[in-house]
Amino acid sequence: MIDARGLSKRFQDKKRGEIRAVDNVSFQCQPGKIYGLLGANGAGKTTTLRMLATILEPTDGTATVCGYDVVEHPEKVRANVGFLSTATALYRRLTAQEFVEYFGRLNGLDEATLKKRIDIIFDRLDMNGFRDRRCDKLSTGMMQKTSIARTLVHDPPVMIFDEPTNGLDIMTARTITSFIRECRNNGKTVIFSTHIMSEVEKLCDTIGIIQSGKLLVEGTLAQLRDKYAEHELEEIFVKVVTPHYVAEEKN
Amino acid sequence: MSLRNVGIVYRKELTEAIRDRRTVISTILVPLLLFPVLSVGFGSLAVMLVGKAKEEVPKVMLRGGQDSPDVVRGLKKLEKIEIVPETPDWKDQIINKEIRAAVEIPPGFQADVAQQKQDTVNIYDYEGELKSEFATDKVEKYLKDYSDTVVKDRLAPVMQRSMTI
Repeated sequence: MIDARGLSKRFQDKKRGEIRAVDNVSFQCQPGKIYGLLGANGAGKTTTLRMLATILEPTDGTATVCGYDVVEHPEKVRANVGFLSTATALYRRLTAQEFVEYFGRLNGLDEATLKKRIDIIFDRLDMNGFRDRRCDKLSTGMMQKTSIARTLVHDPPVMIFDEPTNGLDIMTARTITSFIRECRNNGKTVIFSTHIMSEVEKLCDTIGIIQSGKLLVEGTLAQLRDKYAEHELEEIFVKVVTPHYVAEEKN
Repeated sequence: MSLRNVGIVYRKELTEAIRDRRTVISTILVPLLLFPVLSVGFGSLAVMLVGKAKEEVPKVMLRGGQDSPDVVRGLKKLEKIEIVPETPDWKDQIINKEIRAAVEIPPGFQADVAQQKQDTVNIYDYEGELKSEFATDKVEKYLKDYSDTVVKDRLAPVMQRSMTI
């Protein structure tokens, strides 16, 4: 599971001074559940997820992933995490299979296990048609599938998805959302960031709305509907973040 | 990072490099084709320049030596240099490469040698200039031979005495 406690990240900017990208964020994600981090662009979703994946170190607070502290045991955390983002680049001159094998080996898999894992994943993601094609010859959807395969190859118990369907066509996006659901059904802890409301409605067990680095509210979709007396998540989202937008404008 | 991971990353980097046409051309093909051409080219050029420099009969200015006719005669007899008469601007002439070297024979040099005294002949040249160095080499060789002859002449009577004893 993931347990974030008072997670904060500040950056120094020459013009704007100190920027609080993430400000005292606390939440928990349980195995077999999908936690959706919902926020506008620049709300702090990616920074939060990068701290959980040990790509960034928190300025204050900490988080544990599968019981390992992200600051004290980053290697252990990385071994238990699969991190996927649309911005993830592929090694262009490797084939899809070589790319996945490379990360499998780096994650310590032996050759027999690696082969087995690759066969399962490539079958599941319907990747056999392009497994020997170089990554620079793949379509966007094929690249995203290859990225997913790379994320999954070491079978991590925690999956972190950072806006995984951004810029993808509907069919590829559906493959990914169904895959995220499958991760949950397999008992994985899933955290998922997006600004696409329909995806959150369809997928997430718990929703956290983040704005200006602060986690403003969290709960199940039903709880949020009750609290804000709105059915549509988009309306709920607007109600939650509008006062903060107004406050930011005044500042 | 463990050695295993270093090996994995190395293998991946190598695979990528080999598959990149530009990398292959710039790191393997170009050196393979260009280096031999460059080596042979530079070698031939150097041989040609040295040969050309050696072919030239360099002008060497003689300073002094009026009282040392044997040395002067010997220098003038050298086939591969041209002895030119002394002028006051000899340094400028060396700098402007009008002459390649200047030989300065001190006054009373030949008399000093006859009296078994030590004396020094100075050679001035354009340091680092190939043709100037070749001219200096030729003069030096002549002076060395001259010095050897003098030593031999001095030792001849001594050797003869020792053999008589």
